[in-house]
Amino acid sequence: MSERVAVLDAKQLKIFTDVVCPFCGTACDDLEIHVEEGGRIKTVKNACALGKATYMHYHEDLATPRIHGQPATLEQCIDAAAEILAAAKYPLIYGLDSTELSAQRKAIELAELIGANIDHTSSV
Amino acid sequence: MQTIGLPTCTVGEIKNRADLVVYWGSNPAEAHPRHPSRYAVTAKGLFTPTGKKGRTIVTIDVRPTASSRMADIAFQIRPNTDYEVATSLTALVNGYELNRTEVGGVPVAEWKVLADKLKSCKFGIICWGMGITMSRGKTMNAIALLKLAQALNRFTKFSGMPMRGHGNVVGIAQVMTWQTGYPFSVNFSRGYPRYNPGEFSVADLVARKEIDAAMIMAADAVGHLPGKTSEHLRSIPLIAIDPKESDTTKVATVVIPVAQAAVAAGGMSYRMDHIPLKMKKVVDSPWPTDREILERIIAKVVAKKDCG
Ligand code: SF4
Repeated sequence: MSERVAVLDAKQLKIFTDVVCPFCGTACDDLEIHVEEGGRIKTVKNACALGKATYMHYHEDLATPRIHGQPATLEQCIDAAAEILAAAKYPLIYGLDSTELSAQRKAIELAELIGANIDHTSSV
Repeated sequence: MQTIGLPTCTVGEIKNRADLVVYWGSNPAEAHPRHPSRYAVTAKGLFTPTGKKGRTIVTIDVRPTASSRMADIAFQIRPNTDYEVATSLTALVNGYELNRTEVGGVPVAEWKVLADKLKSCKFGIICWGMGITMSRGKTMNAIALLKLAQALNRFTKFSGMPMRGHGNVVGIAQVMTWQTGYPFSVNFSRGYPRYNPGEFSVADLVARKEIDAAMIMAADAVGHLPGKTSEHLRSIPLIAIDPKESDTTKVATVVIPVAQAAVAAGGMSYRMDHIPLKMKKVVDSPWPTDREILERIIAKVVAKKDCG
């Protein structure tokens, strides 16, 4: 009941249902997420504490573009990254766990292009 | 797993069919909190209409955990005896006697009772976790559990499933396998993929200080690799691509923020049973997705290589 009132009051509340939680391999696919106007996540339903925290704390601790610790534009960062990778003799591409398949596929394409080693946490 | 094969099933099959579940070296109550309620313990399914009442839940671990409290039978074994216990159980399942009185600190008589239980269930599964893969024996432990599941298939239907964790780690293993033929530790230095864990695995590459630049994406390498090995990462040009600040972004030469997959970016990911699921985007991010960043880097690298 209280929930319906909330929806009526804040007309801009967006409700996402059947959201797949990315946190643990259980991949629960029944999350319901309410997002307020302006993009703040207000409620996460059905998730466990870990899954809920993933969404509720999303806005905290976000990274910013930097080169040698100094603020830079995204474009400058991408250029610097390409410079480093193109010049490297024996580069490593690592991680890729917390992202999605098409990005993972691109990372492999990049590894092939620069002759890199590519690995992820399963090997540790 | 590449050496033995995986008698597998989906989590839906666990929910609908499993009347016996072994959590071995895994602690779902803390690491996969809804695994027991959605799939393996209290979940009610087509052939498991009574949920927990109709199932036998066994835990095998080196210490009491939040999960062992929900078990019908909880074994506490000595650390690093998983391999011994798994192979002994396989021998008992196959009808052999053991010429000793205890294995892993538990009387053989108790293992015999368990072996009979495993053989007489209708559909059983062993869900193993890091307790198996991170203790002495490592992948050999997992192979021993799979051999146990294989032996049990002569008597009933039995599966094994690793409790795969964090994020889309199953996804990257799958994508690497389709694209290169290998699940991890791949090297492209000769222009074609070569696979050799121990040589091309991250911990070894970094420990031997062979790499001269690194790009870390969607993982915190500096925070998670052993202290000594991560030191080398700090001394070379390091690119961190991550939605959040981490130990890696703090020391990286270049930090590129991105939209977090499944929160601010959509896409596909794999569940622990290798079923792909669609992740949704629920909020906007000022930054591009991982894929877009990689596409832009690739375009620039190609341009640089062409003029160099
Ligand atoms: S809601 Fe909890 S149990 Fe489900 S996938 Fe997310 S973290 Fe895992």
